[in-house]
Amino acid sequence: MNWQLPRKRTILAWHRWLGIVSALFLLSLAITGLALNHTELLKLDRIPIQHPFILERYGMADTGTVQAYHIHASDILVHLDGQLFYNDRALASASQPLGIIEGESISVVATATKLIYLSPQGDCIEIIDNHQLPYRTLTAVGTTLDQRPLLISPQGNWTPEDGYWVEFDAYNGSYEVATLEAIAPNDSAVQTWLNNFQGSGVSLYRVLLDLHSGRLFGWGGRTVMDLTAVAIILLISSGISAWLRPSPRNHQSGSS
Amino acid sequence: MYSYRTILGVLIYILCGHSVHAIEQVYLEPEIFIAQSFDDPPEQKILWLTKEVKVAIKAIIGHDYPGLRIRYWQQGGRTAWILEEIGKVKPITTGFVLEGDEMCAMRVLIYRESHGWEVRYPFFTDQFTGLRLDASNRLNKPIDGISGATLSVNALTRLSKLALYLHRKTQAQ
Repeated sequence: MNWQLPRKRTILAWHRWLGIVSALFLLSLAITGLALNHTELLKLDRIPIQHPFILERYGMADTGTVQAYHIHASDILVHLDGQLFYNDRALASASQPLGIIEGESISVVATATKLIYLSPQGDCIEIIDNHQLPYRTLTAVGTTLDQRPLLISPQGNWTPEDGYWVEFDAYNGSYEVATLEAIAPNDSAVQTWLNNFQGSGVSLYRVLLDLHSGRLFGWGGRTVMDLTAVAIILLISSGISAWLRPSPRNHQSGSS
Repeated sequence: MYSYRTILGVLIYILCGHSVHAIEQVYLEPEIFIAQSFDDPPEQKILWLTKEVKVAIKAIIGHDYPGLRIRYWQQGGRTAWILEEIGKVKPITTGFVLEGDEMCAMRVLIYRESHGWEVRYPFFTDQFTGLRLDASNRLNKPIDGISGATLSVNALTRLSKLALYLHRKTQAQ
């Protein structure tokens, strides 16, 4: 079979449209690549980005509501967008607390999938997730009839073996559910927690790296960057093809 | 024919519909790892991190280990530990089994990063078998890296040193 290149006009039309469509992404790829190659010179890792859109992409935006609870009489436990704070100190990544069980040497903050053990001063002693607990999801916290703390789950109810909360015993008796009362914090306290939550933001290096690979926009961004790479190959191919294909005008002038 | 606005809308939806979060991959449930590591059910214990231990841990892994105590499982001279260390942005949950003064096994239990999951394969984890810590808290042999998984390899190497140190502390008690 005799294969022939398309007409030069067709190749150039494809080349032009491919160039226009991929120009924006090629530009992004080139600029971010240049910047990343000179990270230390440009001090990209020392430039924090705190724009709400960027923080939202990294799951750091203040989209959630602040929930606060009293703990250890005068202290406050705060939950904000998957993060727990003890007063103004970051404690752990966790979902909303279901109960706070205060003990003599260890207090326990119980969430759906984690138990966070705290000292009376609010220092984190240990964090146990559901992979190491006798249940998968906690639904509530309660007390047994003899006033022992109780963890209530679809996989059964459990009491700590002792005050150290290392091992758990199954409990099948009657119990009372203890609800956790939230308090209403003032605006300045909420702002302090928001600032702590967002920290100094995300470094420009990290943002440029994820923009370069397309990861800043998840799999959609990665796919677009993959397509851009394919577009580069096609642009090179169509450019060379157009160069190899003589234009009809030159052909006519050559033959006359 | 679709208007450019429709195409633009679809493109923005695809781009913005997903964030950069990685997915948690559970390769081996910690409770199964513990059950597989001992012939009989082990005793669950806790090691309190005293000031001296915390200083040593910081020297080994380069930062404070979160919390004031670490739980472990013991049967005779054999211990198992489930420790976490951040590779790039998310913690890697890793199980270690130790006996005598050396490591018997290392398994990656839960991986949460988007890159570097190759560290879970035996060609990498088998290197940790027989690993020992000298008096200066250095490993007796080097750990070969994996291209594209450098941060995860470094995190697991640090954790293996920590596990050996913690095991040594429990044997001294």
